[in-house]
Amino acid sequence: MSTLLEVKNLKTSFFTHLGEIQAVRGASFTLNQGEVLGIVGESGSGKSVTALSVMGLIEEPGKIKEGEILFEGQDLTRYSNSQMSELRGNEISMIFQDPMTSLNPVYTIQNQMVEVLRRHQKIGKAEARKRAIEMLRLVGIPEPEKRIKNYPHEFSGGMRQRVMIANALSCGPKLLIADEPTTALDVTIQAQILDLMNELKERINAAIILITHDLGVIAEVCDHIVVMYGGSIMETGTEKDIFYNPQHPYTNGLHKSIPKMTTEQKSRLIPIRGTPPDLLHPPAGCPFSARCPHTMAVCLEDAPPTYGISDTQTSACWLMDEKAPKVDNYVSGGKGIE
Amino acid sequence: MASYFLRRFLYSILTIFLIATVTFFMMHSIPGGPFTRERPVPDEIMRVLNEKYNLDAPLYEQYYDYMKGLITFDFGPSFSKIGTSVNDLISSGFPRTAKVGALACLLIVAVGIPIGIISALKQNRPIDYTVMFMATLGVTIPSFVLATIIIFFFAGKLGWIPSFGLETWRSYLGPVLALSGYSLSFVARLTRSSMLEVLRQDYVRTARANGLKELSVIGKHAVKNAIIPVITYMGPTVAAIMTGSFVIERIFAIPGIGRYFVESVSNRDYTTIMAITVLYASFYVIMVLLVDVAYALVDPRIRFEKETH
Repeated sequence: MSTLLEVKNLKTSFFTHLGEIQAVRGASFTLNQGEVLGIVGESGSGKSVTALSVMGLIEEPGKIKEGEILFEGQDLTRYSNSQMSELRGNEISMIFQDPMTSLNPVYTIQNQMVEVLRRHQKIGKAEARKRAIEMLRLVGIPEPEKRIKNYPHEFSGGMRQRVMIANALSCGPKLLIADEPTTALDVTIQAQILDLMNELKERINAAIILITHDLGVIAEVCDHIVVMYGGSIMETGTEKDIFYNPQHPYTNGLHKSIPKMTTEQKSRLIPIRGTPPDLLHPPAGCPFSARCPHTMAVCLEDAPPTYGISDTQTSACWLMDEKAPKVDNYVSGGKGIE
Repeated sequence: MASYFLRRFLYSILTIFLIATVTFFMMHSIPGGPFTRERPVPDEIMRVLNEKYNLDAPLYEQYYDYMKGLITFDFGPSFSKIGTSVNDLISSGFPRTAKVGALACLLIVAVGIPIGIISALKQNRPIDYTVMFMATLGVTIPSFVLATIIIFFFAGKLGWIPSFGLETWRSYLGPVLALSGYSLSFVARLTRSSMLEVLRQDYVRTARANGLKELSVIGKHAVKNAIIPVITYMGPTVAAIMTGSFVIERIFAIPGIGRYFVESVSNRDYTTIMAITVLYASFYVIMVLLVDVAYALVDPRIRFEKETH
């Protein structure tokens, strides 16, 4: 499988009047064609900003400071906005968290979908309409010929997210970025949308980046997972690695803070104490050092390098260093996840 | 939809009728009358005048007579210009007022909205600061000051425009500018703040994420949403501007109907007061109705009736 997207040492900052907010502080990951990559992390971990950087949608006062975003070998950070707009919606598409507000309320679905299709594919109105209807059918909108004439407010939240997905996929993109696509939906609708994405994954042959704060969502869909925290990547690995053999104390902390249906006796959830780092004044060392149960002197001074654990797994933690003490019980923390 | 508008139309007529009634009794409750002068008029003359214009009849009778005329659009004789009917006064003055007013409205929309949009797109840049400074001036400077400044510089010092009348196209420049100054500035500010709000919306980000050209993102997706508050403001504004301004018509010596808003009241010119009030009220009611129609055209979420009853 060939590489579709390679993000190298991406640093994106927002230059506000308070100072520089370092939202992404050196993120690197790769995505192969047709693969599903999950980016997981809490609010403010830099996952959405990473996605918007790839889309070229970082707005003032934000800026990509450093790094490369190689899409099919081309560095997107060097593209002008009009060059990027040729790619957006065409080669790279994005769907957003809140389907209730992501469609323009004053235009019909047909108007909005046909506009995108005609922007990128050199086709007529009738042809574009036909394709839009096909896409709506594909994402499970009943009676698409009729529904396409409706306005966004005439759809439910789940249906609107389906419309968003249909719209994003209409030009046959090579990469789909889904930023918290299920967060604003009811749990049952969440499951439907995830099923839809799972189903489409087979059919559309696009690579997907799925951004979420919900490990449960990631587990269902993703091949590879990137765990972000404080603007940096903490751990990467396959779904198996992250769920059954987490190496980073942060990943482990995430697992322990999830309620489990399978636990027989009553047990307390173990939250991660403290708050995420202030990215206006990011810590010199590991961003998780202030909350980590295994913090060592070195963690506070220097950011840890990324250690390869296996062919598929990496962890940015000083505990992986050969000089570090063996910490016994923490690896076992992941075993509770079934 | 049709039945909704029929209902609205009937309500509009009722509204105008009520306004006319309230105005009628209010103006008659002000002391004095159309023939009261500083030097007392001999009783005999007063009696004859009152009799001629039926002002000696009981008020309810006068009201009934007036309303009967109003239904046939007969506004009665003028009390201040003896021998002319109010219909004549209005039909000679209103076209001039309306022409200046229509041009002013056009200027407000054609200039106010675009500069508001540009200002929003260039937020916190020099052009935004310049536009907003001018707009703040425009909103705060009273129209009579603006009109006087225009007369002083452009008619007096520079001699570019005539200082009175409406003879050439140049003579429209002064009154149109002075009349639109406030609303134009207000519309620019309103458009700017509404645009800034809309540009932050998720659907604008979606439009960009779909790779649409910036012209379409702004011109199609943002503007249509941002225009709604401007429509709300423009309704009553058009009604007010189209019926003229006392100050502007006075300063630029335009023989329109704007001056009657003040003159008719101080002269107790009952029929003119009524005609001006009914005209303004009708304009207002029509504009409010048009605003509601425009809402529905712009925003599909606004519907007049529930689909199921």
